[in-house]
Amino acid sequence: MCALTLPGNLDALSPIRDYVKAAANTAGLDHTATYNLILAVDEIATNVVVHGYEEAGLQGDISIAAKNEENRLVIELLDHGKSYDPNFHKLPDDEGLLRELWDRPIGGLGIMLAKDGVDDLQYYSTELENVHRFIVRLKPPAEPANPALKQAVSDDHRRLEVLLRISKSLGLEIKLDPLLQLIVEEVTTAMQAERSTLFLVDRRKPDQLVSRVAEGMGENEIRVLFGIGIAGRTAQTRQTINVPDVDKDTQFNPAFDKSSGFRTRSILSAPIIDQAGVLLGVVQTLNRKDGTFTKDDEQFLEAICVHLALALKRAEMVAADLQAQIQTKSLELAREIQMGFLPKDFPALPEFKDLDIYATIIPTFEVGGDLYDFFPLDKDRLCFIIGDVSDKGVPAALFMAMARTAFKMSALVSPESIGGTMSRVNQFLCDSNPQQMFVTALAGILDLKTGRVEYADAGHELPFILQASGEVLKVEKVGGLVLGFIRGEEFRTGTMQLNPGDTLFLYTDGVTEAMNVKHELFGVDAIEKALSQMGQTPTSEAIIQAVLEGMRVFVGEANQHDDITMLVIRYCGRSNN
Amino acid sequence: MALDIESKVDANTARIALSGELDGSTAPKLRETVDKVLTGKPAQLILLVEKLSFMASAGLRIIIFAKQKQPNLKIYLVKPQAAIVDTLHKTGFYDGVYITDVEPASA
Repeated sequence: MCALTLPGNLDALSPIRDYVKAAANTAGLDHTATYNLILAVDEIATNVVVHGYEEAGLQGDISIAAKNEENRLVIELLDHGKSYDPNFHKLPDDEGLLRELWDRPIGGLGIMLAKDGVDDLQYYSTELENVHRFIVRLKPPAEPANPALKQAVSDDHRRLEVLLRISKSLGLEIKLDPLLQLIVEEVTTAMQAERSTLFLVDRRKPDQLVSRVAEGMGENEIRVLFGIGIAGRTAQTRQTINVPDVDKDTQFNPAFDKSSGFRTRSILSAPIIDQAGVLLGVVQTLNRKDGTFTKDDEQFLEAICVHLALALKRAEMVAADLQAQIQTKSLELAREIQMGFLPKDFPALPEFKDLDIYATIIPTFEVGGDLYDFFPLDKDRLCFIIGDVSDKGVPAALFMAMARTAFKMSALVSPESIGGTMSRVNQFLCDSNPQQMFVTALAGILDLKTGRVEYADAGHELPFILQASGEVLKVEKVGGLVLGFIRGEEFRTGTMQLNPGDTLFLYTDGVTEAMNVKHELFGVDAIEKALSQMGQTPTSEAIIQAVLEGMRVFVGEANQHDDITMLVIRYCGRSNN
Repeated sequence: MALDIESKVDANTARIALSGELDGSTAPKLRETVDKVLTGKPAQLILLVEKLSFMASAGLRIIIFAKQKQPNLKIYLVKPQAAIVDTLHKTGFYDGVYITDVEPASA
């Protein structure tokens, strides 16, 4: 039957009853069963409207759909109001029902009628909707001529159909809970049982089973220790257990019957084991209606268990995959943000004809802790920095972003001395450094009129100067601790001179500590050698490409294990303009 | 389907004839009627329900409401349909009301 959708108010009740009546007639329910089903749906629909929508201050639709399956009628009631689980609601107890009428607590009666009116009332709630499922088993068709034979054939036939349906829903139903619910229902139907329970091994307490789908138990969780009761025994022995009469079985634990009011007569219990041989859970079906569970039943339940194992494994994989995707996505995003604030359009600063700047950064992980930056302070001065955070990954990248921003702000606001700038950055990082990370850095200000560079060193690798003549010089150490380490540290300012055509080569330890398969390091000397082979007036980009090529040859098949960053500044001299 | 309600009070007896369906949407109207007929503190409330084809728990709540308002009130249900009797049985109301096929005379 086509679904019917109505506004979620009390006016919906009458059309909903008409709909259920038509569905019940189509399914061939008798008068009593029809009335009881109508009453059940009406009671729940009333609760949905009153508690789910009106009292919750919400508005929305209520939809009803009937599914006429082979041996049962399923009515689904969908709403988008506040979740209201009928199975969680306390039913009036015997004492309540025996009280004088005027002494009665009001409430719970409707749910009692609803549960009483159908073979099973199921409920689940997702982010999208709340779903009540009313299930009425239909009477089997009239007995065939040769009852025993026909029954056996139709049993097999029916079960094959059940397996087929489960296989199909494995392909269609992505959400685990509705799928498990459906499989458990199918077990009960196919087994001619009264109810079934699916237990899963508790991940946090791997010697316990915890119920995942428990027909007739509502939200109540059943917990079973391995070895205790029939389910516990099934988990421990990993064997199917068939108990024709629980009264004659000492393993049976009557505690649950006592608390639930259900009377267990016979049990069939089978383990769910995955392809790797890991026990995932136990499925248990209770009280075969026409006698005790047979050998065929055992085989059938074991077949169902294979499907359950598949469903559970697939859900696990989907969840793990989703997690991995989220992680990858967030790393990609972090990298995009991080790279977004490093200048990487080259040629950089085209308005400065006296400069040729090129830089590269190759992070080890998706995000790294290296940084470089350069920006003009005014038309005559270029400020630059290269640095390396003591860690890797997202925390290092965040710290790097903070260091870089603090540096730029500090340099732009008061650019008197680079040593002073470094001292302020150090102070800022010390104040906001709960993880005790630190940054090595070398920063400087190049005066474009004179070629003079003031620089400060915070424990960083010393740069090289490739002179116009082709000679390579190492910059002198002025000394200074890493940033973010000791509060109040003063940074000294050193100076160096760039002549027109000279190039400043800055790098992080990812270059010098690049390792080959023999665990040898690329080293400072290799940089020096590469620079000295550049010849006269190479471009900044050519220098970086040459060093990278040298590293590539040296490292060979070995993996990169640290961020690799280079910043190259060639000073062409004002006179060239 | 709606619920038709006809009420009259004579001597010590309140009579309410119901026809149609008694559910969450129609119960408030019946409750008002019951409230009204009970103001005179009748000894008995006779509900003529032969033509009542459906009764949800909202109907049971009205019976509780009437009994809470007036604990000594005798409530009769005249000619209820089998399904409604069944509901009364299941919920334990069967013993709290008088079910009869013959409409009682006024008290």
